Amino acid sequence: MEAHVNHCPPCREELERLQLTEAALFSLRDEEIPQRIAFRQRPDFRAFARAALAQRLLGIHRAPGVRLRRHALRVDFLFCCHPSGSAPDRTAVTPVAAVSPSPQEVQQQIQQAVAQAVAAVEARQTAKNKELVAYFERQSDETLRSVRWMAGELDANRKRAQVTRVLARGAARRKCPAVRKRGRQMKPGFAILLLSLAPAWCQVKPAAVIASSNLPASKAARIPLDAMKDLERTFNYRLASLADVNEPMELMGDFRAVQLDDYGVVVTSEVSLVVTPASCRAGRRFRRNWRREFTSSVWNACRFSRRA
Amino acid sequence: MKEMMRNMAAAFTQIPAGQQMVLVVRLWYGPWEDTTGMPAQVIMRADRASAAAGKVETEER
Repeated sequence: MEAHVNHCPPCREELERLQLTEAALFSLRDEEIPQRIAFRQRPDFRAFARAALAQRLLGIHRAPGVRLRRHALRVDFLFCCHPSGSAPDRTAVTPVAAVSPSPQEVQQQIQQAVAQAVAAVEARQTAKNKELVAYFERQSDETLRSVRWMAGELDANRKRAQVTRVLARGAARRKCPAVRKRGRQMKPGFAILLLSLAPAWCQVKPAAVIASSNLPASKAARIPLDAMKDLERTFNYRLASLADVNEPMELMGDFRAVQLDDYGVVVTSEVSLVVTPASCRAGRRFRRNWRREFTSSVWNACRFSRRA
Repeated sequence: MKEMMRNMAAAFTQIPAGQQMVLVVRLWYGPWEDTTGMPAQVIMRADRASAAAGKVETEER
């Protein structure tokens, strides 16, 4: 090969370029081939090693120990170097050294790659954190619900046990003395039985049942009475001020606001769209009272006149 | 009435956003009135968040 290179200027030039490239590659740190790449390329290396003696002499057959860059370079050189001594076809094979980037470009590419990798890792971490937060929130919500449900069940069980105890006591009193005596003897046993049965009602509901139940998320605070009164007064005034000569309206019953547990607030009122003396309840009440008083006064007058 | 609902939602901040706010106005008619086609009761209902946003469900009976 050396004899050929000495007589062939294009091949010498190519060899010098390749040696330059090789020197540049040697200046880089050697790294082990990743397992997946080595596994994929191993059969090819062996085929190359078996193919020609020159390739074997160049050390291609030592595939597991061969560095990728050197190996590629050698293979490239072997295939680029024409046996007849003519110049290699540069359009078909591009030498590696011809496109070697400058250190600044390499640095820039490294920085870009590092920035991309950091951004990807940060995005992955953020998504993971979000998932974890959502998971823990769900867990705490379910735990809270189950605890609330258990507390409610415990309360209900306590009441049930109390009612059962009272009923049992009443039934025991109604029995005859002999039975009452026996009942008195059985009372501790019955109490123990009740106490042992109490945890049976306290079983934890399955998670699916708890999730599907419509338990309130949070208990509302009681609204102060003054706030209710203020709102009622405001509504009364607003509705009363709506009426005019063309559109009469009379507030028959004042606004009344009620807060219902676990539901919300209900505000009610009664309105008449016609203003007449007859529609006024106070007027009707007054007339009723007046009629009663008038009747009683007439009756009394009649009684007194009879006595006289 | 929608304005009243909005006022209720603004005034009763102690109530959770998911709980209901109901405003019922009953209409009183005299026996001599022709009430054909007239509602006897108007109900406005919404949860507190919707009431504050003005999205109210109205029902006439």
